[in-house]
Amino acid sequence: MVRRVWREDFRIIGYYTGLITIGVGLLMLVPMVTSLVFREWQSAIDFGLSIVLTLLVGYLLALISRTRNTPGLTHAMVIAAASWLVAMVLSAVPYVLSGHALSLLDACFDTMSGYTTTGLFLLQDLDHVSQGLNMWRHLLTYVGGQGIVVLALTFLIGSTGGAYKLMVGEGKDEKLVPNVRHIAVQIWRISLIYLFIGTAVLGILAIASGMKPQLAFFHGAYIFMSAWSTGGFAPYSQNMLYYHSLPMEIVSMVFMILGSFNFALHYAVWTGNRKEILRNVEIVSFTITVLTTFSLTCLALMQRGVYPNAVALFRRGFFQLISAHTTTGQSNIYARTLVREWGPLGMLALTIAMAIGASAASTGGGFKGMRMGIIFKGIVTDVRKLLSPERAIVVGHYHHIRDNTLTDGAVKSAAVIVVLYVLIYVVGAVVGMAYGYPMADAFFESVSAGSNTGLSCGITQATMPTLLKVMYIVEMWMGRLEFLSVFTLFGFIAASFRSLKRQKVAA
Amino acid sequence: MNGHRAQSPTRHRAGGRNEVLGMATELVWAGVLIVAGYLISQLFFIGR
Amino acid sequence: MKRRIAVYLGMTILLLALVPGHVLAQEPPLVTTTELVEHSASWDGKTVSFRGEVLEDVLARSDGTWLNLSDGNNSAMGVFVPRTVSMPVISWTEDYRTIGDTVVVTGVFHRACADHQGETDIHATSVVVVAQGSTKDNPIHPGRVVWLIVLGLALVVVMWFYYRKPGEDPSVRGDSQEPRIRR
Repeated sequence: MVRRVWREDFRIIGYYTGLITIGVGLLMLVPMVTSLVFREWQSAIDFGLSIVLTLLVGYLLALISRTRNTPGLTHAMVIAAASWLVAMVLSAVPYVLSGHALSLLDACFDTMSGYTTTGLFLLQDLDHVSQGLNMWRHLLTYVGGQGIVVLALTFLIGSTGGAYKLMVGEGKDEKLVPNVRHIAVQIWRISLIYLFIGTAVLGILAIASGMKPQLAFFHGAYIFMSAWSTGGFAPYSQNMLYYHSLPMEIVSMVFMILGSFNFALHYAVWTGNRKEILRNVEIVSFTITVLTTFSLTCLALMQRGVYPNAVALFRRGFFQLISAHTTTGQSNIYARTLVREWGPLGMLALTIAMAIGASAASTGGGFKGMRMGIIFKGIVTDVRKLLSPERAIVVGHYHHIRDNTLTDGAVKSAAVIVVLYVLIYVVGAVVGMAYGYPMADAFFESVSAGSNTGLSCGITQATMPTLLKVMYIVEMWMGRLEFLSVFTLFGFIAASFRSLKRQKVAA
Repeated sequence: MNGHRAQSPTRHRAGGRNEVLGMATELVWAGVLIVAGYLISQLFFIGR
Repeated sequence: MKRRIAVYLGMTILLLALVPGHVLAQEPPLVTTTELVEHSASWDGKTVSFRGEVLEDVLARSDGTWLNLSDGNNSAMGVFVPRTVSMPVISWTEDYRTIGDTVVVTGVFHRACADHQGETDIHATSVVVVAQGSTKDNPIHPGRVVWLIVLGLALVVVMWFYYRKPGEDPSVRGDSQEPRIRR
């Protein structure tokens, strides 16, 4: 890090992290009320205790660090990374109190998984947890999808300059409209409208599939939040298999797909620019890679004779593929079925889909469609340059909301991030293989964590090696924040130590 | 909440009609992708 | 004549005693979810017995009923009970506050059921409730209530300090020597 760290920097970071922590505490009111509604008294008390603890930490932090200064870009990135970690630990408290987590580390794994909308979990006996805890798990992914930061933006911070930077720190750097408050409001507006529609439709379908009405709409909400936030949690260990309902799976797929869209695209389409959906580089990229990886999946499944007819191939194969490519992680097959029946090629097809991932500035993970499009166009442009006469000027373009020039800088940034993703995917896979897991399995699980997908082929268990748990937590965190925020945090910490040393020497 | 509507050009307005049409466009598009997936599965079973 | 009958009878009894039990009485083996999924190819199409706790939602459809039976930690199997098979009364299902009935089903396991678009399921030919459910004990821990009150009071104190005086801004007062952050 280039510049020195002053006390004021700590103040800014502490203050805004404190505010975000307060937001997290207030969020816990929802599961607490849920438990009260279902007369789950111990669960309600557990959440009450968690709320008080979280608010205490948040207010203390904010009180100690109170400042009038607004965050600069560097601060924003550090705040994003730091608040993520603080939220992860405090949000784990209800898990620990519920008795369903074997350790604080396991609970943190689950909350990191929730906030990053991954969907892997170490929770024990999921089939017997309270409605309150299930509400909390799903809420984590819904809110995490929007970014804890945007939540804070909407409710706690008045200024706009700092707010914009807080969001950039989050990895959502789309310039939707100049005013940042407006961006946050629009993101929430779209999400809440779809939340209402999704819960209603899925709730009705749940009733039609035999569920009691008083539970059906909770499940509708859970499944919607899981799909839209591309999180992948479900209230029962069988995930979507629990419902035995093709209509519910199809509706869920629709929301997975929509949830994987760039918010700038949502905004464009919702404000009159509907043609954008056909021209947008990410949509084009997504369509091509979905159909390609699905064809590969079908090839693999047909080769092994896994499914007896086309509808079965579609219902299981396409659902898994969409779940993987949107980095959701919902499943309508058992985890081990991937290994025992689908086999390495089928798993590879899903792994590629997960690695590529969803759109930028969305709840999804992976390389992102934008980068696939930019890199592809970069290659094409380079080839055209080679084939053109030396004096000709060849410039590439890509369409995202408007036509953009394909600059060397854009291609380079895209490539750098893709390389970083590949790096964590590989490191995670190597750690898995070092513990004895087969290559296909290790890569699958590592990419699932790093792309925040959450499909599991069976490696993720409470009994898995501690280092592997930590590895996946780090992958989920870095993958969600797209590295820059995390690197800035580390750089900041390093710079702080250097500054402290300098101050000591000077004194 | 929509206090900044005045800044946007006329076509790009966060109005009710545009929102509904926008939502419909997105939903239709997702539906089309799902149908495409279904057709591909059917293709793989042709002749079996 | 009587002796011959006695000899034949004796030989028959001897033979029957020697014949292995599983040929005479075809008891479907009791399996777990893990066993079925790990070895789905070998269990595919076989008749099995499965025992589990009935999870919250018993899903009645037009052609039958779906049960989800939990047989362990994060382990559950979907069982389809066709209309033609008699369903016993399920009095208790899993909930935060209740333990569901324990049920044993016998049926055919499908690795990728053709009727249900590739689902991994068991089509039951018989369903028997072997143990009644009950209410679950979720005792309230008094220690946690105490912590709740103690931390709650601490929170009130901290919040009072936080919201006290809007003008009181320590970052303005004593730190004028430190450089402002340039943006």
